Formats: sequence, structure tokens, C-alpha cells
Amino acid sequence: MVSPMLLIAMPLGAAFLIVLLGSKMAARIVAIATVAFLAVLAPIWLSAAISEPFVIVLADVLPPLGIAFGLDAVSAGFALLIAVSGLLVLLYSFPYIPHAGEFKGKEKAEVRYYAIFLLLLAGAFGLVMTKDIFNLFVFFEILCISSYLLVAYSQEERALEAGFKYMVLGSIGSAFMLVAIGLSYRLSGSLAMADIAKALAAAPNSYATLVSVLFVLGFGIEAAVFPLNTWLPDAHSSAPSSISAVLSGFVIEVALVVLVRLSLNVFSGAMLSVLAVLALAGILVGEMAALGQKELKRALAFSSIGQVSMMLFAFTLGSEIGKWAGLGQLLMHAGAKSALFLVSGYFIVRTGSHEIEAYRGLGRKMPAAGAFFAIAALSLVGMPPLFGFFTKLRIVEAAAAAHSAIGYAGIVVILFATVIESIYLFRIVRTLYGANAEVAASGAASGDLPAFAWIAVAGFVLLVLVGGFMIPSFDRLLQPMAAVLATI
Amino acid sequence: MISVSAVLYSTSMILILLGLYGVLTRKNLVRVVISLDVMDLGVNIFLVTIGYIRDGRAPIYLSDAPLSLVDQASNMVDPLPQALVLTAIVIGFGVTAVALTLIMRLYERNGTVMVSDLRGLKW
Repeated sequence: MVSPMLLIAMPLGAAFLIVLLGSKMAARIVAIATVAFLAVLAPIWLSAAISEPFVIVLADVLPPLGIAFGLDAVSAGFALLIAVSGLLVLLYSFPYIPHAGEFKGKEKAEVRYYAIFLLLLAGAFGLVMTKDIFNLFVFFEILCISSYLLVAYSQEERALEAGFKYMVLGSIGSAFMLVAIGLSYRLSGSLAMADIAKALAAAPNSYATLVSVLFVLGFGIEAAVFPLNTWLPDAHSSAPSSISAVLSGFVIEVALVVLVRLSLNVFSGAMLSVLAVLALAGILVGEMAALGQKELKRALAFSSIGQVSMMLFAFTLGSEIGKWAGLGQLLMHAGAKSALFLVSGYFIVRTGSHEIEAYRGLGRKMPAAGAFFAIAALSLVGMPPLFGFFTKLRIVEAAAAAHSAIGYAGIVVILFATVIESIYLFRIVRTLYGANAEVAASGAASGDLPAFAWIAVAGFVLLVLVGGFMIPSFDRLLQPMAAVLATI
Repeated sequence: MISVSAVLYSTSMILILLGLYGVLTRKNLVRVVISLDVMDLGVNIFLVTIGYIRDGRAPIYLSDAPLSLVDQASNMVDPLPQALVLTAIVIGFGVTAVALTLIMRLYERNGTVMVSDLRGLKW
């Protein structure tokens, strides 16, 4: 079988190839071919990794001297999610990116867009595969730096500011993370996660707590753990919509799962109860803030904070069903939120406005876009029989099964959040289908989604549409993933 | 007597805190980036100090040295933190370059590098 190292090597190589070739057409072809190839291989790796995790030996140096890499059920599952999402978003980017921002040297910027997009994918693949805490930092930085650049892609004032703000917070986070890595190395004399876990378990409690607090501070910024997520609404709402979809769809989730996995296994659960409380606060703050937003993408970004906190809450319950539920929610959110952001990208292109009020009646002019938006929004709220209902139900079940105060508090918070979600998402959908002579007459909106964008959004919507009926087959994947999540 | 590593550890912590203070209080974006670099510097000094050994030697085995291989190994400096710092410096350089590019573009658009004059977002 082909080595899973291709997941990192291919996008990395293709990114540099694209810059060398320098033409827009070549960039598109190389990018889509690379990601499509990985998306085809990913299911094969996943089924192989579920029965037997891959151990990857780099340059023939065996552990403990070599750099530890591995592909287990969790990393293979995420590799599949990243590859498929990346493929669909690339398809969407073909018609969309020429609309994003007006500035000099647009043609060359588009080539660089595809190169940086592939770098982002390489960083995300590396982040889920690495078993070495310093490599974790390196891939984290690859992921972060490429997302700073992509957020600022349109070079509009708000995008530049959001990119800068994101970058400042991200750099503070990575400084904390490096200190945590240094402390772990000082204690264990190794950078492999397994060795650090052993050393920290034997160390004084305060030392492990210090390391894990610094690590959560560092990694939590990217994973949008409340209250470290102030950059998120700006970055996700000012980025090109294809990038918002990627950032909300899998980038925060990848960071979150790595954070949870390390907290559970390496830092011996020192921060779990704190994370559970932060998660509940994050759900409330995210959803309440989304309620008051006038801009569509800002509301969606705040809703991402709420949703990600919901996953974090499920993970911190500690039970296997909790992790299982969290992963299910993660999969649903990747489909629904990506579709919402991608559709809102074309709402912005057609009306030239970010405000929800400007989209009044747009659902009638863009029937496919409106329908996709409505389905994804309903799934996010948790309307049966869409996927979101089942994943949210499972989180509530897991919370009830925990029989703890925080579990019951979680149920109350999640149900309350669902009410808030339904208020603002239904309001948006109603605005889309509301009667408005002005939009109808102005003619600003012309045409529905272009073909490639239509296919991409339909792919994501298909997931939330049939996900509910495919729960048994998803569970065959999610259950081993949940079991592996509790190991390094 | 105060040991060298105690001095280095405290220097690194002071630099990190100074940098953090600068990032949070400066209004000029270029100064924010300089503060980030000060913070990075503190982290790098911290990492190097982890590998510090008193009277340590370079981690290279010499066949013609008067000492045996075991004695040579006894107080070698740990090379790994230094390798980490090299990587961290390169990454820090990349981040600084990206940050300055963003500031340059913002300056082209607005003619200012002050946070208080930026109106695109709520800070």
C-alpha cells in the first residue's frame, strides 16, 4: 500500500510546483488533481487504519530516535474529512475566487491562493498524523500562517485587519505552546507524546497542570476555546467564503480534536473539568452573540463558536459515547457550516453586501442556493430527519448518561442554545424568502450558483440530508475513532 | 551564587512578559510586531537554556581526543533544544515577514499604522 506520508508530501510538493508553473489554469489542475488523488486514497487508508494503525518510519530511523508519525483511526478519519472538504472547496473556488477582492496583480494572486490552500491542507494532515510534540508545533504553524494569508486574501481593509488580529493572537498562542513544549522536554527528555505522557504522570501534579494550562492557552486560541476566540468572528467573516468554509469546516475542529486528545492522554485529564465549563460558556456566548449580528457571515462565525464548544463539551464528558457524539456533531457541522458559508459567498457576490437585510427575497432569485441554505440551516438547528437532529440528540444522551452536575447543566445549555439557534437561523431563512420588490427590481442579483459551486455545495448538503439515514454506517467509522481518541 | 541557567530562565520570562505587555498595549502595529519578536526571543532563550549544561562541550565525538568516548559523552550539551530553536527562529522570521506585509498593505490603503485609525472591524 502507498505510504500515508503522501498526505503531507503531495500537497507540499504540489504547492511549490504551482508557484513554479505560475499559470492560473495549471494551478487549478495541479491542485484539484492532488486533492482528488488523496480523497480517493483516504477511504482505503481509513479502512486499513481501523483494523491496524500505521506506524510510519521516516528516513529509516526507528523510534525513539526518529520522528514519530502514525495514521490511526482518528487521523485517517480526519484525513478523509479534510481531503473531501478540500476537494469540494477547491471546486467552489474555481468560479468564486475571481470575485474575491479587487486589487493589482489579481492573476498571480490566484495562483498563490491555490498554493497556500494546499499548504493549509498539508498542515492540517500533518497536525492529525504527528505523534511528536514539536512536529505538532511545526504543522500547527504551517496551518496558521497559511490561514493568516488566506484570511487576508481579498486585501480589503477589513480582511487585512482580521488577518493581522488573527496573526497576533495566533503568535501569542504559539509562544505559550513553545514554552509548554520546552517544559515537557525538560521533564521527559523526549519529544514523543508517549514519553511525555509517562513523564508527566510521574511528575508532581503542579508541573503537569502548568504544562497543560500553557498548552491549552496556546492551542485553545486556534481551537476557538472560549474565551480565546475573539479573533474568530472577524477572521471567518472577512475571509473569502471558500476559506471561511474551510476554517469553520475543519480547521478549528482539527485543532480541537488534537487539543482534546492531548488533554486526555498526555496531560492526564488535568484540564478536562475546566474545559467542560469553558465549553458551556462558549456555547452560550457564541449563540447569544450570533443572535445580535446584522451580517450573515458574522452570525455564522459566532454560531461556529457555539457549535465547536458543543463538540468540546461532548468530548470532555469522558465517556466513549460522549466522544462518539462529539465526532458525529463534528461531521455534521463540517457539512452544514461549509455549505452555509459557501452559499453566503454567492449571496455576497450577487448583492455586494454582507448584511442579512440585503438578501431579502434572494431565495426566490437563486432557488438552488436558497434551498441549500435552508436545508443546511435546519440541520444545524437540529430539525429531524436531518443529520443535525441525530448528532445533537446523541450529545444530550451522552450528557444524561454522565450522571454529573456538569452533564445536566450541559443538557440545559444545549437545549437553550438550540432555541436561540432556531431563532436567528429561521429569521435568516425567512428573510431569504421574504417578499421584497426592491431586490427583485434592482437586478443586482443575476443567476444562481455556477455549476462548480453548485456541485460543491450540493456535496456538503448531501451529507446533512442523508447523514441521518446513514447513521449505522457512519457509526462503524465513528466508534473506532472514539475508542482511539482515548489513546495516543 | 546565582547559576547561569537561573539568570537565563528569569531573563527569558521577563522578555516574554515584556513582549506580551507590548502586544497588548501598543497602538502602533509595527510596535506590536516588534513586541511579538521580543516575546519570541524570550521563548527561544528559554528553549536554549533547557539544553544548557555547566562546562558543557559540543555534542561531537572526537576519535583523537584525550578522553574516552564515555567521558566525552558525560557533559555534552543536549543538541535537541538548539535544533528546536533554529526551527522556531525560522518560523518566527516567517511570521514577522507576513505581519510586516499585512501592515504594508494596510498602510497603502489607509496611510496609517495606528490601531485607533482602523475602522474596518471592532477591535
